[in-house]
Amino acid sequence: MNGVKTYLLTVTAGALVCALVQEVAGGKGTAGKVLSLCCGVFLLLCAFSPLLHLEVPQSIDIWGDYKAQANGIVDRTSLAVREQTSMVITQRTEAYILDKAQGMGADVRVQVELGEDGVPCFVRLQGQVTPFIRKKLAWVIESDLGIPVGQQRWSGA
Amino acid sequence: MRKAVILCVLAIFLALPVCATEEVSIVDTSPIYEVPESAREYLPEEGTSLPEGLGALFWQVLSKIQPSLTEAVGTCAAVLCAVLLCTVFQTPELSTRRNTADLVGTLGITALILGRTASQIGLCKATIVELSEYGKLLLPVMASAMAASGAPTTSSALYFGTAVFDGILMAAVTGLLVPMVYAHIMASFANSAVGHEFLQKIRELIAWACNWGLKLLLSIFTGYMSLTGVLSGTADAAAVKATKTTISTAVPVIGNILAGASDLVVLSASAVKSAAGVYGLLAVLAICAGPFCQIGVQYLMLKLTWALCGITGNKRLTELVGNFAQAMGLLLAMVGVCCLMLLISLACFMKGAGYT
Repeated sequence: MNGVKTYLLTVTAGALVCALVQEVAGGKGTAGKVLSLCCGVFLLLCAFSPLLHLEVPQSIDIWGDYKAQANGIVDRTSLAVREQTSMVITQRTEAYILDKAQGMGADVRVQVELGEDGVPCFVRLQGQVTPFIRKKLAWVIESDLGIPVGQQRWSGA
Repeated sequence: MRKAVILCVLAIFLALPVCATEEVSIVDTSPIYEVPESAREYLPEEGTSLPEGLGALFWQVLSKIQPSLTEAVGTCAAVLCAVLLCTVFQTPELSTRRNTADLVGTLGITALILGRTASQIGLCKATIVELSEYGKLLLPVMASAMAASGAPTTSSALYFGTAVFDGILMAAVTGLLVPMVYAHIMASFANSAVGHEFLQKIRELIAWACNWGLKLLLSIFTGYMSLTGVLSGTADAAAVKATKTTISTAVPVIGNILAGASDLVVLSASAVKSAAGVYGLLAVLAICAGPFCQIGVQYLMLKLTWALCGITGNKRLTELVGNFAQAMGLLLAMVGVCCLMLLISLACFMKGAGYT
């Protein structure tokens, strides 16, 4: 951008100089015509000589930083979304199990763990319940939530 | 008494269960409230809807336009007087007196307008820098909210495009266009003083290059943002469909829980995106409203003065005034393009493809 600015300012300044010279020293005679020719050649050199030495770079990676910024924002947000979604799934699954247990008259504490795919895969239950209620609750958890009995751990209060 | 008891019993049955609403917080929106001080007076109160905010902004700008208008009228009146005086002292017979009057008039008019023009150029640069800096705070918030709404690919592409074009525009304005405005003024002054046609051509070339450059940049930017929304939206829609298919194959109860959790997060992010987008729109307009009006008033007054100078018949000085008006127009175009790019970007983020 600095190169373009310098080039344009050079051409403009050259034009100003030529105009001033022609105004001051120019005329309609042979001298005036020669002066006009010289000014024209001077302006041609100002306009075209930088272009002759122009070097086009082979490759430019000016987009790298912007791409990295964009990807960084999306990655951080995706991580936050996964964390929030996991938290909500865990809370709702635990609330569902607690609701079912209360319906059976059992007072339990629940802790659910999610798998890598974000689906509940393990549950830890704590509380004093009869074997019948434990079996019934285990069946509900397996049929409604897809957590097999082998992935359910009971411990006393 | 019996009726009162029956009413109380009925009231108990009619009492609605209170449900606590779940809220999730994924996007930090605090950076968007760091609006520059100069724009805070134009910003409507928080929580205002977009139509109300625009209305409040409009009246606020109108109420503060008086000082700029007074100053512009004063400058233009002085310029008109200068042109009239120069015309009075000109006579067609003596070319020396005509040239001297024109030269003096050129110097006088340039001295009257140049100070104002330089301050407007400074205001233009400062406004564009403020817009760019605020964009750096606002766009990551919008990109984050859009990514959380279920459109990560679109979000990344829109952010990348906006950041790139913002960088190009900033570099172009500060490194090229503003110097070209100075060159335009220089060429106008020299053309008016000396009367050489070549300088007029240079001036016209500079004005054309500035206008063409800004139009090209805006056109490419608009095209990129439009295409990105369509192409990236397809990828995001396919990803969302795949997720929904996975959820639908799960056990019904767990499927409902998974879908509900996903919906909650996406809808929360969408709400944040809309709210932040509206605030951002108003903030961007608040940043550029004042400077845009100041430069706009100066531009319109110079145009009016140019039209009035035509009555005097002094072609050279009239053209000089017109050229200064054109320089103001270029500044107006730069601020307008920068603001428009940011507004288009915000609109794309707010509209972009998402989960819902």
